[in-house]
Amino acid sequence: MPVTEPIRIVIIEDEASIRRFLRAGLPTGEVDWHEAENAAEGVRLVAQKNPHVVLLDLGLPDRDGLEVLRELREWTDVPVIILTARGQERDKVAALDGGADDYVTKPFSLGELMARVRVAVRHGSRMESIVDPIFRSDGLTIDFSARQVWVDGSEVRLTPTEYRLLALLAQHAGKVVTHRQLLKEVWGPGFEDSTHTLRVHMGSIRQKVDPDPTRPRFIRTETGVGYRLMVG
Amino acid sequence: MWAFGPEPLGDRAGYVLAIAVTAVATLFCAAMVLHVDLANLVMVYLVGITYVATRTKPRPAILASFLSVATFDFCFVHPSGTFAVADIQYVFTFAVMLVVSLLISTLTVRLREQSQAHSEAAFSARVEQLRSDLLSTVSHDLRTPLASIEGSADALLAQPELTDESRGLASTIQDQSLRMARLIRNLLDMTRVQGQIDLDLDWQSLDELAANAILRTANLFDRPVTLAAPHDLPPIKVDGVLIEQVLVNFLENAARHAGRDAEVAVVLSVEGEEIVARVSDDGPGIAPGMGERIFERFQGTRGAGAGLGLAICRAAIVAHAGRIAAMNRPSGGAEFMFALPRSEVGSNASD
Repeated sequence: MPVTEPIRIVIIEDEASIRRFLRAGLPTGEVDWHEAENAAEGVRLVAQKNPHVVLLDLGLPDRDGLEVLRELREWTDVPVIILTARGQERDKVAALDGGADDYVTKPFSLGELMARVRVAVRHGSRMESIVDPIFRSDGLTIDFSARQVWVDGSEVRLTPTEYRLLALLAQHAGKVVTHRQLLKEVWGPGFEDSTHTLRVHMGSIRQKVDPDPTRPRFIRTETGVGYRLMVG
Repeated sequence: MWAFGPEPLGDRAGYVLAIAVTAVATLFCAAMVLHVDLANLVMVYLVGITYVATRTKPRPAILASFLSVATFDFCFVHPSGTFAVADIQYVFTFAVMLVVSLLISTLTVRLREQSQAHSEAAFSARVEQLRSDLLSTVSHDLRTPLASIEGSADALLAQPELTDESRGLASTIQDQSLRMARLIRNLLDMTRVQGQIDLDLDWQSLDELAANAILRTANLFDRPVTLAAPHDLPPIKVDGVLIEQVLVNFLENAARHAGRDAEVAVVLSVEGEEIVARVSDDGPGIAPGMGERIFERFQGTRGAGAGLGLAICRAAIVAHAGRIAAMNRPSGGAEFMFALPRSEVGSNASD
């Protein structure tokens, strides 16, 4: 995406001090920043500003954040990043399965948030364009048309299931994909609870493409939530 | 349902009540005897016995039973004024009256005991719930301002015109707020593992959890922590967030006691019917005589970690029906381990 216009962000967060440090810390010029302190105002602002990304706090005073997400999803595909706390893994999963694009866990750093925002914007704008037939990130290359995978130039042999899992993560590169989403996409409806199978296949993929678990290059485990293919 | 007194009456008061109630029942029957059939007067006595049973221990209620039979016989059954019984059918009435009244008194007493036990259990469950709600609310309320402090320091550090001194101060604010966030996280975890733990069980790869724990604690070590695991380590059904936290706490403990430049290794293995994780360091080891006490609250730390970390580990592993232990290695240094039972692959579709 050509970086001509700043990223328009609407944040829906009741905590003024959090809005304030984000406003102060995010790169001015790169970001066009709009704030709402409750759900009603937030939904109105999203309709009015047509942002590239929405940052949504799950603990709002007037309404449940998940409910706000559901309402937004009735009329807009705008990428939504959830602001949440550790220990709320079920909420994270519920938000992601309910149409959120990603989440950051408080306390988060500005760098982390901006990285998530950029990924979400990239995915948001790609929806209208054609999906790139070749995925390249760091040393990982995936040719979606030939169904081939290379790591640092040498081809990696994956089983069809392993390939589909990795390709799915690559299509959502930079974003977390929940266990449920992976199972549903790769195995089909009715297999959403087969996490045992998923673990076995993911273990096998990691051994082939990401053999040093203490220094994962491509695949990150988000415990209790899902997997994320990192972007270089 | 009738109401029970909070405590049954004492012995003497109980017997007095038994006698008084029987007397009242007798007076009432005397007033009614011309209008009501004798068999129905028995009911008046039974009401009295039931009342006594609700207010007293078993013995006064039994006394009321016998007393009622005796006065009923003496005052109302022909020939009245004696304990003699002219009509043999009243012997049968007495027997039934005695059995019913004894039954009522024992059942009532038992019911009261049950209801008391129940309300005591409900009370302590509520206290536990309140305690845990309070702690998690406090932790949550502390965490939000802390996220603002940490973020503000981060935003401050992003300002290009900052002097070195200001930058140093801002990073102190950031480091310390992150440390405080860790303490609050420990507090939250402790309330979770101490209360009725609601484990979020799902299939997990222990090597992924260990790798995450190593990544999360990477800034505590100068030398990278190593991880060794067999290629065919089977998935295990656990609460992933909690088990990852156990490994993080082991690693934080190693960093605290063995230092930043310690050589720390995480080794996973399958041993019989268990999956075992070991975290070892080359530090000074565990003080002699510490033993199992190291897993108790406020033990095994020098004030740095609020002393909850290892206690959380033990509670979490126990909740998973696993084993946890700490020992000194023969080659020096400490080793912390836990073992979790291998999970059965159940009715998981497609397995």
